[in-house]
Amino acid sequence: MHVNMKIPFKQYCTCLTFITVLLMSMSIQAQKKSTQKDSIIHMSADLQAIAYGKVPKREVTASIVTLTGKDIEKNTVFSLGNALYGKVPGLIVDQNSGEPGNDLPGFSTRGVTTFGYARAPLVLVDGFIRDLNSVSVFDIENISVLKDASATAMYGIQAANGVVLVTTKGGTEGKTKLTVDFSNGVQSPTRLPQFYNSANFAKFYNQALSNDKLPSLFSDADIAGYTDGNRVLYPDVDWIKEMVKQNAPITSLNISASGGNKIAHYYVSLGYLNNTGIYKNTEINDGYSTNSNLNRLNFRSNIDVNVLSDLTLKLNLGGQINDINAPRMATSDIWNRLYDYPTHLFPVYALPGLLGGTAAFADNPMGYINNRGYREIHNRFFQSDLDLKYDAGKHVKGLELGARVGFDNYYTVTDGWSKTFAVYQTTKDPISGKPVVGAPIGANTNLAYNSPYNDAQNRRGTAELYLNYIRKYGNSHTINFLALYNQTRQIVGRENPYNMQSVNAKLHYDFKNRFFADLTTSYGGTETFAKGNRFGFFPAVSAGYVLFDQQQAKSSNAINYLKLRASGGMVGSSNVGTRFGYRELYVGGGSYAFGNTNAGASTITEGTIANPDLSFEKSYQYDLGIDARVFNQVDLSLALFQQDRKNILTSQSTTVPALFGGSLPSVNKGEVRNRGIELSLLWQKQFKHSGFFARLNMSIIKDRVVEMAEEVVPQGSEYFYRKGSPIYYTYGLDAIGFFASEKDIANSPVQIFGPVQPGDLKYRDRNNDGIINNYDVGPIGNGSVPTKEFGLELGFNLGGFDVQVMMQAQLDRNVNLASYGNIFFPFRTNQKISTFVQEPWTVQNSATAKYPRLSTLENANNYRTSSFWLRNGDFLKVRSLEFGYNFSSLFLKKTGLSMSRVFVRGMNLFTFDKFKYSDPENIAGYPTMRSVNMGFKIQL
Amino acid sequence: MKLKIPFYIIIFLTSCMTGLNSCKKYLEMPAQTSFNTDSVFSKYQNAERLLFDLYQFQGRALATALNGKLGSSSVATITDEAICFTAQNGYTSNNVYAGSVNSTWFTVNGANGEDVYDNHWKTIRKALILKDNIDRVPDATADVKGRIKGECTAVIALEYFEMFKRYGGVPIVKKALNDAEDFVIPRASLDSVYNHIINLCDEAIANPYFPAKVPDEKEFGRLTKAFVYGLKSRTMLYAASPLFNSDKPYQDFGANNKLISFMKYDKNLWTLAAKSAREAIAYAEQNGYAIVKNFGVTRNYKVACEDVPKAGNTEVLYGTFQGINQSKLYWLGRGTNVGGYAATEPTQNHIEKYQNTDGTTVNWNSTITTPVNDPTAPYKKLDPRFHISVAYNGCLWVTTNPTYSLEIYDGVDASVANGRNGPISAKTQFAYFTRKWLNGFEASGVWTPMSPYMRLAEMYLNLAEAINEASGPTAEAFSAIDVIRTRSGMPTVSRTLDQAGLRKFIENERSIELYLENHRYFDVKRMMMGDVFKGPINDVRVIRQKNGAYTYTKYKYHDRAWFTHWYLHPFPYNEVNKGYGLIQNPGW
Repeated sequence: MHVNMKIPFKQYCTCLTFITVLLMSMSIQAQKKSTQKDSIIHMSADLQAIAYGKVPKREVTASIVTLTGKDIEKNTVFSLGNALYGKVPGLIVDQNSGEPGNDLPGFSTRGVTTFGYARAPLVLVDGFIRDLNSVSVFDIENISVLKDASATAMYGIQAANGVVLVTTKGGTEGKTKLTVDFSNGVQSPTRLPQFYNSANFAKFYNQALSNDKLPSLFSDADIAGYTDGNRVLYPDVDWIKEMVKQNAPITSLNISASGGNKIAHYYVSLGYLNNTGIYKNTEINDGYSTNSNLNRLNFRSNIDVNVLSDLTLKLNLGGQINDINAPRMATSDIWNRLYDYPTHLFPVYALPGLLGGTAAFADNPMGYINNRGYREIHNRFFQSDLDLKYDAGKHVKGLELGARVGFDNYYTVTDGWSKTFAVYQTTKDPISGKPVVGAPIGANTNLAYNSPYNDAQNRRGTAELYLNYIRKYGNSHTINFLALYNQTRQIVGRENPYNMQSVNAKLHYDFKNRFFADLTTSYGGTETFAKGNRFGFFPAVSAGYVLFDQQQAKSSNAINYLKLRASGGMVGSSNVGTRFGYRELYVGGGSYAFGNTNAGASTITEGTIANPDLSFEKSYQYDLGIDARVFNQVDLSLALFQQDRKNILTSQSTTVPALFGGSLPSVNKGEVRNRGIELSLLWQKQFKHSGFFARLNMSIIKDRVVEMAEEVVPQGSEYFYRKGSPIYYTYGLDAIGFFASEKDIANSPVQIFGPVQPGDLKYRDRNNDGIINNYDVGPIGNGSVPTKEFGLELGFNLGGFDVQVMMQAQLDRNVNLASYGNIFFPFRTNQKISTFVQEPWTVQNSATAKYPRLSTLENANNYRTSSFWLRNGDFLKVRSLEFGYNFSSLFLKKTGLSMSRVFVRGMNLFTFDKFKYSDPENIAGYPTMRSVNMGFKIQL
Repeated sequence: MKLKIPFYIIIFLTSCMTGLNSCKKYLEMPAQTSFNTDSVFSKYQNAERLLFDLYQFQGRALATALNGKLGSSSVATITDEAICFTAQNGYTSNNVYAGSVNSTWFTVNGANGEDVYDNHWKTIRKALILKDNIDRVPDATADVKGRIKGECTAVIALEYFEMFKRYGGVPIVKKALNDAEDFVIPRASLDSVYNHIINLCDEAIANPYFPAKVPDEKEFGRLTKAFVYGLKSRTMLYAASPLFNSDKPYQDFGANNKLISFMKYDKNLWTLAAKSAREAIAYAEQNGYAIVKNFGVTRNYKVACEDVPKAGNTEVLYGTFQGINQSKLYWLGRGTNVGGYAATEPTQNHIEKYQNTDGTTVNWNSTITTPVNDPTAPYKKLDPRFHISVAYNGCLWVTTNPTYSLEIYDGVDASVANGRNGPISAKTQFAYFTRKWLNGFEASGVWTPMSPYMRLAEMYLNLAEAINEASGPTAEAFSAIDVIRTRSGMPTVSRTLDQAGLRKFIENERSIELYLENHRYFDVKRMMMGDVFKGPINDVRVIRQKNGAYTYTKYKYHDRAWFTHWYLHPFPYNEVNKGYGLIQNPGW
């Protein structure tokens, strides 16, 4: 597939013109022979959204999975992404924090395909590039995930990471339908890290000091005091319990109306969401709350009007207002304090109203969350798009011309009020033994307004012109030709505008509604690269053949429907993380102090050397698929794919001599191969009063670095290279136990990370050179990206009652605890010790110890990535579980409603895993939420 | 009908083409807001900022106080001058003590190692580009441009010297490289690198626009001609010293011996070194530099080491405020009034180098018992430079109100309270804290003393040493040392010393005068005295007796590793592995 894809833009256009003219003249020939009947195209009810259009599922030759709005609505989520766990085979969704307004999950389609800058799929809402979270879950008609080159080639230079198409609801002809959805619930953290109490802390701390050959800090009397003493002198504060509540309310209300007549259709909706955070005592201040809170108001108005019999106009408007309240201090700082602040140093309050604290620990979490003021983040989305379509059928049969424009605006700004607070240290009076409260540390100040900051005004404007032509030749041949010109400009704050330009075309061929073929091309460019490297040509071909279908197969046949499809093509990714890298650049350097004071003088320094050859990533994608229906009740879809990502930016610094002295640019030389299999099974059956369904989604995807610049290592250490391993594979030292004794240390290879003692981690000398250093780092296990992902959805109904459950599992993943030092590495800067630490090494338990010797100091030998810290991160989560009741039609008739349903729904109720200590997907920081909701849906 | 079809096609395609044409420049990048080579040299203002950038990595080359090397434990701690808290794993000096030094970290990572090999080359490239392009600046006079060229030359010379002393022969790069083919440059012989440095120094000295001293105090921290004279003296001293000036290398390197040794002993190098030290002193003193001696014998040394020229320091030839780690807590022993990390604390070995002001020494070989309630008795008469450099039991630590005295002792038994800064109370290990640069210590937080790289005092020491080696203990040699000693209230050197005695005396004097200024590590290596790094490294145990007297007992804290191949640094492992012919130093 190594064709030179650099065709000048104009030649490409001329070529397209030629094809268009050719097709048109063919159509004129055909027209003469055709009859009126021919123009009726068979439209199955089962339409699938594809790039720039919808086609019957049967005709799709690319790899596309579509979810309907109904699948999405059954989730109580605040970001659309959180409704997609396990729903689409090959769409990997990783849950993050549960913080209101900051809970967007991570995404990728078909696993990891690049180590380059952009890894997330392109998201389009109603055909325009937009944020997935800018749409309410209630406004969604369907979501399609386009996975192979044939499906995505129309998006050419931006398509390599896959594409997600979101279509919002529209109105249909008929009586006005008014729908009200309401749900209300409470949420609590799934799992939070746990820490030892003061008495255990003191025991472990003494043990650690003795390991460090330092005198003990806590006497037996102290330990007894912490066990059951005066909590003023011997505090024992579980900060997480003190500051985190278990019942934060969530509310969601959505009202929509839709309907239409022959001239116009409409869908309008208004939604409200409230998501409350889990901090405690946030209402102690007069007039304001410091709790995290998201208030969202969103609307949508989708209207299509038949202006003339052959001219339709479609206007979609959508908007969202998010007001987020949060404690003044950064979320990560708050959680670090909750994890780090010792239990034994001071009580929450030294005296009623006076917060406890010491000079070194002056950020008493109670004050840190509630007495530092609050932040308000305001962000607003506004989206509009207009589509004008002219049916030129009366001039040329099957010809449609159209123009579309989209204009979006996003604005965000933060402001708020801040203050500081004082803490008081309690000490024991040496004579009376009574607690004495010392002078204030810090000061209580009044709220001061923080002028707006972090503001960004982002805009995106897109214009498109298109031509669509459908023609049937005789009884067997149909072609559909679409040509489209796209121009997009995005303005992000003060950055230079992002511009894109492309001409795209697609030719669809249908032979007797049995064999289908598609040729899709895009020629597009961005200003990111130098002239000559700016544009790329992205072609894809695909074909599908329906072997069996209902008409053909006898009812006794096991196979009712069988389609084979295959595709191949090349798409690109222009977001390589650096713009204008083709030009030489001088940038601001660090400041340096001259003169009599430490005032820095600003500097300029040579930036990265220009790389005029910089270009986009290319992804060569091949896909084979089978769609089938068997025993008249099971739908099956299977896909095998391979993606070869080339031109990934990779550094040169590992090979160029240091004496060059400059900073060399990355070059398009990296390569990754990714292969996988995806399976989707749907078994459903409807009986007279009941029914059930079971859907299994499964994907097994493995990537492998083919080419990447790497540090050159000496012979014998080749395991160091990442070439051949998955991108996110964890590399580290191989821990083979703890040093048993000084003699063991003396007889083992030297570990150069720092002096070692018995009880420290002992590593394997992979290259047998007698030294354990960074060159003994090699592959130790999977990273946090799973190889296998499963989604299982089950449901049944009996009469009006129904139950549905959605489970998601990720297998072959690990968590690297060395990345969360403040939880898993105790005491280092006087912080706590978590209950993860069990049976730390001592001389007595040296054979059975489960954790290295404790230390009160930094330990560069133990506290680094090694197989010891890599723990199994597999999990199965029950993402949603819903019990519902639909009122009988008799009841509905009486009330005049067309539908009425009540439900109880749990989100993230259960997690089954081996890690157990905290949520394997979100180990530290603002936790993931579990919620229980009750609600109803009424349709009038 | 036939006509209509082309009509629609034409409309669509015309609009497409119109779209493209009207937006012909759609994908052109808007005006550049950042600089390129042309725009950066179009204004003096920018060129000056490029010049300032040359100093970016110099901060790290400066005195130990702030350089954040070796996991913040500092270079002094891998000499017999000082020691770091040994339980603190992050202080990578501990690895040096244990002997686990290798090329994977020692010259790779600035925070953990002793050097960052790459940074020398980064600075050289910057200086070469600036030097080549400065003439393009339209709005600067020939004087200004000439000065910048001189400064660039001085920076390049300094970088080569810093590599020369660490690695021996290194590649010589004479222009800013752009072509991948030019990147393959082998190591030059030690001889060539030495000559290259001297040539660069001479070029800067010959530059008429390069000032002897910064014309404005605000420019303190920029290189001057007086510094280049000093650098030349230092380079020649290193070249004349036994490590390089020998007919055989410190360790056999076969065919590559010329990379690490001159391979012939040349006594004349000492004569040249003496001459260049003499010139450096003369040039500096003609141009307004002088040994600090107007602040009284107990304070002169402090002003010379810690203060800026504005505050009366006439002695510093190059120094800066720039610091990497500005937390003085690294320097404090643990458990003081504000805590401390005990990163760099003086050893007993270093304490024993100080003499009393009458020229005698304290006998530490048996336990010293002080009079009752007089903890500072052993230290009272020591060199004023000791009191400025070292904090010890009983000394007044915080001099401002409220004052704070150090109590670095343990009680003899449970009936005698442990001192608040002693091993038991403060969980500390050593009986001495660093005081140099912390004098008048008041509170924690950001702290930016002046950090000297070169002082005139060093030139006198260079002179004395070079003369002694070239022509024995002459009057000029003795009086050069007297200059340093008398300004700190110390007696003159005994004229009875022979050449070996004076050599030993000068080495001791350098260690005292240049304490913590990054000299000791390289001085010991160039003098081929590496075994002193082996130790034993001693500390003193201070016990308060029941009657209020204190006992001071010297004890061995530890021995340290030292290997012959450590005389020169290793090149970074991954640099050698790139396979372009960089030959690793022997033994690494």
